[in-house]
Amino acid sequence: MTGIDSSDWALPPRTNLPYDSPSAEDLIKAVQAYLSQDLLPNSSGAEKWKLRIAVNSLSIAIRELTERDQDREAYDKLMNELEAESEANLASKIKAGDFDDNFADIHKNLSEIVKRKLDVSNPAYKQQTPKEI
Amino acid sequence: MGNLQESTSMGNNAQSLQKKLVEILHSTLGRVEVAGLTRLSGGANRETWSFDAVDSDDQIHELILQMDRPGMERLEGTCAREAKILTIAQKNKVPVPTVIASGHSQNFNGRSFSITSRILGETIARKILRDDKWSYARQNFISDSAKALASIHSIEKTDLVDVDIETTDNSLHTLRLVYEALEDPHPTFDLAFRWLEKNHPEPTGFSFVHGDYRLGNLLFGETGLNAVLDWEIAHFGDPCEDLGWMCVRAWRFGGSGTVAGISDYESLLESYELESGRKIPVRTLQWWEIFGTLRWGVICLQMGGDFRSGRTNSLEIAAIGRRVAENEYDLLNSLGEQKL
Repeated sequence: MTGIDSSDWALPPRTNLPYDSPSAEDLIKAVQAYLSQDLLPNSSGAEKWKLRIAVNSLSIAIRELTERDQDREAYDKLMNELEAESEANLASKIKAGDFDDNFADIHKNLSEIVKRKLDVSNPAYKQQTPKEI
Repeated sequence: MGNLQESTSMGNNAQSLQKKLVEILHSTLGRVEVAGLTRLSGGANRETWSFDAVDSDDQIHELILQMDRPGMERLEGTCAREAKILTIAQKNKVPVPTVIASGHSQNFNGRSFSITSRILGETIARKILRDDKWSYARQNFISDSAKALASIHSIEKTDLVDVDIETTDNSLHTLRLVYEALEDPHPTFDLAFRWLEKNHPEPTGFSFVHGDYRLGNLLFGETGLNAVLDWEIAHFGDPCEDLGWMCVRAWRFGGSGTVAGISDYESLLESYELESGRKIPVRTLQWWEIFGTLRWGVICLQMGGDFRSGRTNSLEIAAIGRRVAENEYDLLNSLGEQKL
């Protein structure tokens, strides 16, 4: 050996095989940091507004990538409980009055689905409401 | 929408625009010099400029130019149409900008335009809701709005014979047609439609309706409401639609009041009855608020869909698509206490 200490050179394991790092999530985070740390402080007016939307959109994308497997699983379960084959199927059952006497169940399951969607798109929104659904 | 074409807009050439304004204003203000031409951040459908026209008596006219964006065929003529409505609204004592000129001009490549007086003030909701500067305007908001709405709702069909205005006899049915045409079912919306259909209140009347009366479209001076803007979707229908719309949570902009984030249902209804003579039950107002939430939800779905189907590449519009869930949440919240 040449005398160089290489004991801390080992890389963390890759999380997105077969691809190389950075992963999609990490790339989004890097772009987000660039927008919010380098561009946003020097912007104003309409451009600042648009940059904020851009940063926020990337936050949604990261949360979606993180949550989507378990949200999809929960969604399938909640839809199954309602005996709904698809959103279109559930929509037409509601329209036909099939849930008129079973409002509590449909309200409960739809609320669970919507809360999960909102946790991804705008998690602060629920805290701003006076009462919970 | 239409932002794809934004970069090719002729309006970016301020110098040629200046010349065109001088030509257009000649018939109304005589020979003018145009100064201080500045592009404002307008809505998605329009291009907005601020400028001063100095006439031969050295009088300064502070003006606003609006033009429909190119590529907005499905909304063609909206600026000129709105100018006609503004003129009639002003005759009916609604606070609005004064129309100086409007029409379709060769000078703007045939695009519809309007030139109106520039009224000073603030439209940004978060400032109006929070800054001390607007506390007096906030105190007057309900009585100012009750007066403005009563005036809007007193505009007769016969006043508007020259303008193409839709009549919505059944707003809920009209909204359902829009929703179903999108073919993107959201069961929460269907649940809300079901509830709204089964609990439809008696009509509160039939009148001219602004259609988008809310913070953001209202211009405030320090003493109160200076102008009602954005008349693009004005129509004939139930006047309570306007009252319910400003109670929708999105239009509270984080404020704690149930009406525009500023006030409460009872104050609005009391003040509106005083100005219009219409007595509206709180439950009816709340029905129209839930209708408004559903309507905003469907609009979010439609705008997000414009991005999905490639009609626009605007990031703002894409982001609005993700606001569908907020409306679903609010609808379920409102329906939580209810039975079908």
